[in-house]
Amino acid sequence: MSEAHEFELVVANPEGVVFEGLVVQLLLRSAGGDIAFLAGHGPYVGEVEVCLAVVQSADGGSEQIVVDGGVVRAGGNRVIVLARDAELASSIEQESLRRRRERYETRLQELDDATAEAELRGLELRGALL
Amino acid sequence: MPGGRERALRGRIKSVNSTKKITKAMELIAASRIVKAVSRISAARPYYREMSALASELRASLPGYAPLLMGEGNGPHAVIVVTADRGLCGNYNSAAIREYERFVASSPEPVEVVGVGRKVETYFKYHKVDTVRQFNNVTQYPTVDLAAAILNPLLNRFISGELSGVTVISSRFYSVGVQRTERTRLLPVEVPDTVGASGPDFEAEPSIEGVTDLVLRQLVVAEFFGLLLEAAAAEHAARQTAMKNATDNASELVKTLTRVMNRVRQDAITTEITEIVGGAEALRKTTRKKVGDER
Repeated sequence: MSEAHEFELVVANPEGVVFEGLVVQLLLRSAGGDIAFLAGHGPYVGEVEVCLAVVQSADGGSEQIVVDGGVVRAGGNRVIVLARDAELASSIEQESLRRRRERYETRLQELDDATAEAELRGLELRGALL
Repeated sequence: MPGGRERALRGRIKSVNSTKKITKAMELIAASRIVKAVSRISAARPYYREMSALASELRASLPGYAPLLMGEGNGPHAVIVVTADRGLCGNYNSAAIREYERFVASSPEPVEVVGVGRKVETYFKYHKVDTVRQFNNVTQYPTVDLAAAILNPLLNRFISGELSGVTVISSRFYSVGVQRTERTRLLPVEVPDTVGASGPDFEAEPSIEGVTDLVLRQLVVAEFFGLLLEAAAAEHAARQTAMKNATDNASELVKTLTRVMNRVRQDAITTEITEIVGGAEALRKTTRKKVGDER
């Protein structure tokens, strides 16, 4: 049984579920600006920008997740973030960031401007967290 | 010379045994890769399921809106043919190529081809088929980036009305024993509006139309990524089965060759004994004759 002020949060990317659990607050950046989700949030669907999502749990702990854009859906005391890519800030490593940067440079010619910019922001965000 | 034949058979048995060791190793490698590939398929399912449910919900909320990816274009139909980069996997590659040939024969529209995998590249080169793009080294470890890199140019061309649709021909993984080559139509997107809402009952940012288009785009990429994951698992399963059959056949061949070799050896021994006995008999007769003559 979840406490009244908790809600279920799922953050997933096409490879799998990155975060799943009961939390008290989710803060991220949507197309309309920064948005906070609390328990009992009204039905909502929105575009998520590349951002650092902050999750707070009932025990006072917090978790940071890099979200590389996507969609967020809230309703029924459940929030789901379907990201193009997402990664727990705690799991970012120098080596994985280097590989990611290499991949980005290799694919740069094929990417459209919006995707290239989003990827670059994701890289910068990860770099700042290290 | 009987000894020569036995030596040749012994060499052949040795060679079959070393081939058997290789096929057995390949079987075991494929088996371990299936486990990883299947776990990636399972991990990818929640995202696709949720995205699909969201797309249905959005579609039902906007009955009058025709999303970009659900329209009909007038141009050629693009087909993405997914095969492996390597052989030794039974009819995995040839089944996809045969399905492609059937697709082209039955398609009312002109067909544009995108190849994935070295095996289909070889086929296209040999048959002088013009491909729009060719991607190799994808199915060993498919990633979302690769799926998006293959699909995004086609998505953009579909949205601009240059393509009438996109179909993928690939192997679907049902179980280790069952894989089928199937056609999956990616575009135009088909999303059932099962929720049946009369209008939007949620707030949307920046707009429901904008979010719907974004969701459908991500949904199509996720679906294609899922197909690549299944193709990878199906390839490993096909390789495991093919290598198991090859190992079994090698064992059978070794048994048969050993039996033949033993028979040849036995024949050689029998011949030698017969020759010795015959020689001894002849010698005895000659000795008796000599003794009789002397008397």
